[in-house]
Amino acid sequence: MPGGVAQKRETDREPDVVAMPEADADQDAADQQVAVRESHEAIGREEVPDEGREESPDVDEAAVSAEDEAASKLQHDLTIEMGGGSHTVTKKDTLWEISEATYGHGKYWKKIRSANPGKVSARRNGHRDLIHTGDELALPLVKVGPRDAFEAMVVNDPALREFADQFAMNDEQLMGMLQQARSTGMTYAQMIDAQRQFYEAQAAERGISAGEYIAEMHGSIGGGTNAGKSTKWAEEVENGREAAWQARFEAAEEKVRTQSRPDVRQAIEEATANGGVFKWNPSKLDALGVVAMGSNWNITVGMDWVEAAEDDVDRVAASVMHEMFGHGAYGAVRAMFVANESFAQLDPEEQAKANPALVSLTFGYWESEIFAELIEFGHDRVDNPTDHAFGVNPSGEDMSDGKTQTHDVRKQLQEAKAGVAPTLLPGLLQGLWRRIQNEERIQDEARAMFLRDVREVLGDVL
Amino acid sequence: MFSDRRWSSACSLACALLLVACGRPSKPSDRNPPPTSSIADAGATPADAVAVAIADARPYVRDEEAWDYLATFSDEHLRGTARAEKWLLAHPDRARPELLRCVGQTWWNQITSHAYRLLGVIGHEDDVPVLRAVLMSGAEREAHYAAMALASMPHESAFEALEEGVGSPEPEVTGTSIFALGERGDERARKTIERRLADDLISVRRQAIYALSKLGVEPSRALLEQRVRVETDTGVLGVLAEVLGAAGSP
Repeated sequence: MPGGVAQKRETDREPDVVAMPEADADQDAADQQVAVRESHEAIGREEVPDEGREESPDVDEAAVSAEDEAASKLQHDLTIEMGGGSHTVTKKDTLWEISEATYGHGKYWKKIRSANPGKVSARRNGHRDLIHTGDELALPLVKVGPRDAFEAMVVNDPALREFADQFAMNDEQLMGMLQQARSTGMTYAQMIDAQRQFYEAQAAERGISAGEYIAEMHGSIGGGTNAGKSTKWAEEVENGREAAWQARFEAAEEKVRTQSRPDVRQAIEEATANGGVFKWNPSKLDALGVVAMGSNWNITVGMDWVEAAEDDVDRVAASVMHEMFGHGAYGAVRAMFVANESFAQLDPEEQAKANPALVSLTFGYWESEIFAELIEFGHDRVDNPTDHAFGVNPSGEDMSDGKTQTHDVRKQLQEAKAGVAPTLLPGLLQGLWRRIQNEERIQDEARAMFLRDVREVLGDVL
Repeated sequence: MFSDRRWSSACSLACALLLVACGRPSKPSDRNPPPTSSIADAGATPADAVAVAIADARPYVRDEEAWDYLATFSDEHLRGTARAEKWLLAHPDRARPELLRCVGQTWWNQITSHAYRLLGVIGHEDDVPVLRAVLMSGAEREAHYAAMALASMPHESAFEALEEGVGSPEPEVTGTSIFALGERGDERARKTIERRLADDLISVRRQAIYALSKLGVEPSRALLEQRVRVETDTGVLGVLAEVLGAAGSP
């Protein structure tokens, strides 16, 4: 077993999943890049209205099909279906070894024997495990644990081990990653190559280069705004209020830790156990104009978050669950990894045309973001200072009254459709879906609405 | 904090200007945000009262496209906002009603600060009275963002609104107006700011020193050095030393 495939969730195993540009230069670059894009051409396989921006469909948010509703139940299943196909026996083959190569462990050899009556003979000692050179053995589909599946899959896909070593994974995370590999039917190298070809094909359709295409997409999807200098925090500093704000932050953190709903407190405890902390960075968040950011199991907050928490801890529950728990629990984001690696395959001069800091945010962030939004859904309320997963929350409140964006899940799916190779996307989604199915903090209602949105945006891919 | 008379004045002004500023044809819509009048009835803050004035100025019909772009700013990671900002700035007449609506909303969310900022960047003179009303409301956070929006607007009325803010009995309004005048960089504000170097409030004195540093220290060096000799607050003395030191010796 590779050392990186840890048995528990670990911290610091992943780049900043929020991947907000750290420097103003990145923001400026994104702003400059957005100016390039005027085309309203479709991105991806089908027309995406107005540069990927969602039209305003009249969706009955509560309406999901009976099929989606039935499929939305929590399912704690940490197995991957391995096998299928056949194996032609060669000299020196044993059932144990065939099982090891197919399912990651020799202990499944009897499954092969059962699937091949008449092709496995008894030895003189009575053990019925003798196979014959030249025979074609059927390899049945067997549900195996993620660690066995990993060992089987890494034989043909060594980059899986690199990924696992880089981002030590728990069983949930490993299962999701393997499901993605299994569903795409590609090795890592093939996935990265497919995404690179996608960049190039999209660029060719537009008559531009791959680097230029990526830069355009930064502006369309990934680029943040240049919110300008940090005036509010600067004024607070000039007023000599830094210490007072620090105290308010600490009090707000304590209030959230102790007065939030039990499930939020429990999630905070889990994040804390994984090394997550509340970070106070008002200068950065004020400059960006965001309420909170997340990385690993951490949540970074600014003045607006503190004021909302002071007002009512439930107002920040969604942000805590989203940033601290949602992204933290999801762990390494395979789509981001593929995006970055495929970008790195481009010629250096093409890479220089885009902003490397925005590549994963633009083309891969949707995967973790959807998971985080679904986690957040159970805590969403109309005065949540940030956006909303769907048009309603579990209480049936109309989130459009909150004067912030609704349907973020749908937006993420549209971004995925626009920026991910069609050969990859269904498989990546299936891995994400396994994670969603297994996560007890995601409500069935959210799962059902996610399925509905997937059908509407991408068709029958799950 | 905010007298009834001033509240009424601000609301009336905001109402009047909104009627002019938001000249789109309108009809009632079931997608309108809920009525906010109840906030005022329930003993709301001054900022809420201004929000009521804006919200009630006319029947409101959401411009869905403009709204969608503006709503992008609620994305936790601000994805897509560069494109949204570009569109909003390219369509100021459609953006402004939605931005004003945000300024007048009943609670602060991630969009709000961007709404103030974009109003400032668009810089439509009709919005000055609304921003002035918010500034004079005395609500600290809203006042700051209104002042900064006024600071980026070129109009004389914006400058006057900030000068009026300096004279406010509310220390928060005074301080944030001084800060904004410094950011605005208008030399005409120097005398107004210099007078506040001797303000009774430490926070106002600090803001005045900061604002003068933004305008340029040298014309006010003598006054700042004089302040060093009489200042008793160690924090302010530290800021003075920093500003004078950063500017170098005459």
